[in-house]
Amino acid sequence: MADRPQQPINGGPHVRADLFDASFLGRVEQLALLARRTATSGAQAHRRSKKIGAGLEFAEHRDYSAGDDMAQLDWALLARSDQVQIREYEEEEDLSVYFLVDHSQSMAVGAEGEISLLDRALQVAAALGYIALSNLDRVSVVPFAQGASAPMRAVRGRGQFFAVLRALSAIEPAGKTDIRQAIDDFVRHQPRPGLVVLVSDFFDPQGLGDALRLLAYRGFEPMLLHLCDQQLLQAGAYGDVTLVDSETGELCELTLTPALMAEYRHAFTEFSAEIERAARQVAARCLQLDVAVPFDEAVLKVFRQGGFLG
Amino acid sequence: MPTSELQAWLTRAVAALLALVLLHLLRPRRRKVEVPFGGLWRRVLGSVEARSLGRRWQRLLSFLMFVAFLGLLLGAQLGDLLHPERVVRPRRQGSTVLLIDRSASMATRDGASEAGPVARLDEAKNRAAQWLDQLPPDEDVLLAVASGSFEVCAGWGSDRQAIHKALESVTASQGGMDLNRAVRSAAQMLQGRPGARLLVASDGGLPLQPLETAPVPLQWLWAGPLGAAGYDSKVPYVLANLAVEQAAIRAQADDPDRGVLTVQVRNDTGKNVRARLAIFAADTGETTGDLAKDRNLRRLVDVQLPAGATTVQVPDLELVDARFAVRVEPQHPDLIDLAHWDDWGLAVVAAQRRLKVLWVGDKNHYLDAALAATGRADVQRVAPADYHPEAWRAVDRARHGIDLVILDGVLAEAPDGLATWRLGLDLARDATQLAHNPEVLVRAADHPAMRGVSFQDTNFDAVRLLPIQSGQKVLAAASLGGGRSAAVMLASEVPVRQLTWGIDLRETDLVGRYALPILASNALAWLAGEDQPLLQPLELGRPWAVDAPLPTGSWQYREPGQPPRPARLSAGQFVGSSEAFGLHQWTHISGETVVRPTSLPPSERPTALLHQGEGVRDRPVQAASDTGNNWPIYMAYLVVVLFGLLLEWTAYLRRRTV
Repeated sequence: MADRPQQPINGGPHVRADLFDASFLGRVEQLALLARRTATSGAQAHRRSKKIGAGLEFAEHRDYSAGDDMAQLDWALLARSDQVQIREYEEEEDLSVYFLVDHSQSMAVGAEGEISLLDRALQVAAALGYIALSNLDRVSVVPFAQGASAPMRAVRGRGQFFAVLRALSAIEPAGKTDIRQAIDDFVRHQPRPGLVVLVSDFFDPQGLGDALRLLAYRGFEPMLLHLCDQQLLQAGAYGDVTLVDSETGELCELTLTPALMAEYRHAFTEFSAEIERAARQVAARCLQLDVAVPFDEAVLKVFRQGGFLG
Repeated sequence: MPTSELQAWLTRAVAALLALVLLHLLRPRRRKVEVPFGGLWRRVLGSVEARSLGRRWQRLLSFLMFVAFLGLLLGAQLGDLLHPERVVRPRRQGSTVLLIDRSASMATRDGASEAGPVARLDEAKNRAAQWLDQLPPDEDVLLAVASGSFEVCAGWGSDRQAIHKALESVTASQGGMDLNRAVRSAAQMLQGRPGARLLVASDGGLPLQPLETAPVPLQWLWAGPLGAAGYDSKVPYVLANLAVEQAAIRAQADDPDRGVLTVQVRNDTGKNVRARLAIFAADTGETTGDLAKDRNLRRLVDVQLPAGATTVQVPDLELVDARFAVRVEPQHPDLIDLAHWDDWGLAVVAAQRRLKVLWVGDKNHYLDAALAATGRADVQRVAPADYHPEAWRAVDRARHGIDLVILDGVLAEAPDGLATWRLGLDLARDATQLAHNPEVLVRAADHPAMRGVSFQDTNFDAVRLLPIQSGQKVLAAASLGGGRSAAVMLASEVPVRQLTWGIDLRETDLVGRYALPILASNALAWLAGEDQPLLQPLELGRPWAVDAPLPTGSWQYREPGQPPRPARLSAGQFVGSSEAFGLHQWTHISGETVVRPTSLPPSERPTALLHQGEGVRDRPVQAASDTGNNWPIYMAYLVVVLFGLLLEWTAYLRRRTV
């Protein structure tokens, strides 16, 4: 990862050119258009956090209490029904979208010559971030591994896309995965509640349930993007191997046989089911994305099946 | 430290190093594969209960087994290399009688060696000398020779130089050998001595009586056509030799489409032997190997062969196929014929037999066309400058490939023993007379070379008038006028058939007449001896007796390569023996001639019932047969290794981990 090329794109000094090149940007733009078309076709695309306050749209009446602004008194109602009611209006807020990107060592493992999980995670996060920015949402990127860094300052508007890209480009693989600790760190910074998109392989020995429950308790809406590499599950070369855990460095000697690979695939399927179960418990959506699938297809899948921003 | 010991240690060190390198190369190695989450794999391994101790060690154990098998195999192969002392094992102090057979048959020269024919006695002496060099220095050796009697050449002692010197002086005698008596005498010499052992260097050809059980450990140093493979004292059967001396196929008088195969078989076992003749036939093929195929088998004939030579006639063979091969083999399974190379004979129907002709002379289109018209001549033409009779005689003897020689206008000797056809005008330096435009008449129309030939209306521009020598027959003569005539074409049969034509085909219009191909065909057939009866061949190195047509009178014997000398007659037979290969000829003062060819060098075989006592276990040099005997062991090793590999592969497919 250290030798990944970083070239300035449109003035951004630290944007990775290998991931976020011109074609990437073009495809992201197309994705944004597709997302907009999806929004006008019936599904609600704009999500707003509702807050009763000084908005323009009427929300409800409430009883007058001493100290209320007399300007908000509903004089017409008072005249008509002799009730003293205060008019309340709905105040619209921007949605905050947090991309929590797992950058642990396990995300850097991939078949030789193929894109790693981390790179795919960055691409997907970038594309979704662009769409969110286009939607005038506030976007923030939070890398995490054993813990979470301070969230990037939330940005809004399409013009801030390169700030998002720079933040993503700065992410390097390091550390072990501890999602619970990462969520703890994340919520400690008291970010505004919003959509939390967890992009990870979720290879955490501690499990995922506590972290998701904490997020839900704090008013966040979690969305899980489970990245996996199916090629690793189909190891073509069998034989005697020593498996090295990419995060802990632990060794495990075994002989890869077709039977053992079938067992492993079965175990992985169970592992994926556990993640989905944990997501369902907090009414979160969970999508599995294969790294072999191009990022734009993955993003569309997130839209169509995952209901991103929907 | 002696050099030999140092070499042995060096060899062991190199072998150990190679073994280490091999083990290093073969050690179990595992590829390292980085996985994102080892926990998932541990869960898998836990679920398949694959971490038992047996499974963990299974791979290593199977690998060690494989290495062990491989080591055994390599050890068996390299055992002799790593442990030369196993091949030449030091013996305790012992006594050896080295008995050399110096009978007459040991003077026979066999052509098996690359350096040319070597007398069996010389071969025996060489092998005995090699044996002596391998013996421990403290071994007592006695050198004895035996033919009719048993003689000690060098007494007991360990002075190798003296033994070698005595060995060098051993020469062949004229008599036979009583092996039983010689062995008994040698056993007496060994009586009471420690580590007694008898070593016999012999060709084993005589006597024909069974060998008695030797009173001492006996070992053979083989010197004869059997070669170095030698004699295995543990073989419990009778060694014998049956050989096909000669084979010929002739059409039957009553049915030209059927023929009689005449086979001359030699039985060297000294007793009656039931044998079988396998007769093969095919329309193509130049060797017995070409014919020896199952589909070519025409008939199996059981015969009873008395000791010595027997002529067997097999009638009613269809002559659809022109080439016949016959093989003789003993019927009894315990009778082993060791010499397979002389079990075959080849016979070709005369009219279809291709003749190998050596043509010495310049290009002659007329002769070329005449030979081609016969349809049966395979001609090899040699320029006169390249022709050396001695060289061609050697080639002929080695290959037996040339049937006759044509000397066309060449004043040169023909190779000894080969039929020759001379033609041309410069036939001899003393024949100076030429006749121009003579009338040539056939004088011997009944001669096979002149059958169906007439020179009527044939013009000869010039012919050579040939002087007639003793034994020559005039086939055609030129009329010189005034009742005078002179020979133009001559034929002779002694010592070999010869045709002499004082005719140059470029000086006559004979080439345009049908007489020439007939003449050429007649000449080839007659020179190739196809009308000759089967001649009893003489065996090299053995006493023989040939019936003399006239028991009295003065007979001259001409041995190949030797000047004529008076023949030895006894009871109406010529007697003697010879090592000379070729035609042997006896000539009576009256002109009567007897000719006998010698057969190929005979293959004398031991006919003794083999000794079953203790053999000498440690051979000084490892014989070729020893290596062959180890093959079952090697094959067993190989099977075990393959079985191990199969087990390993099966385990590999079944196991999950180690």
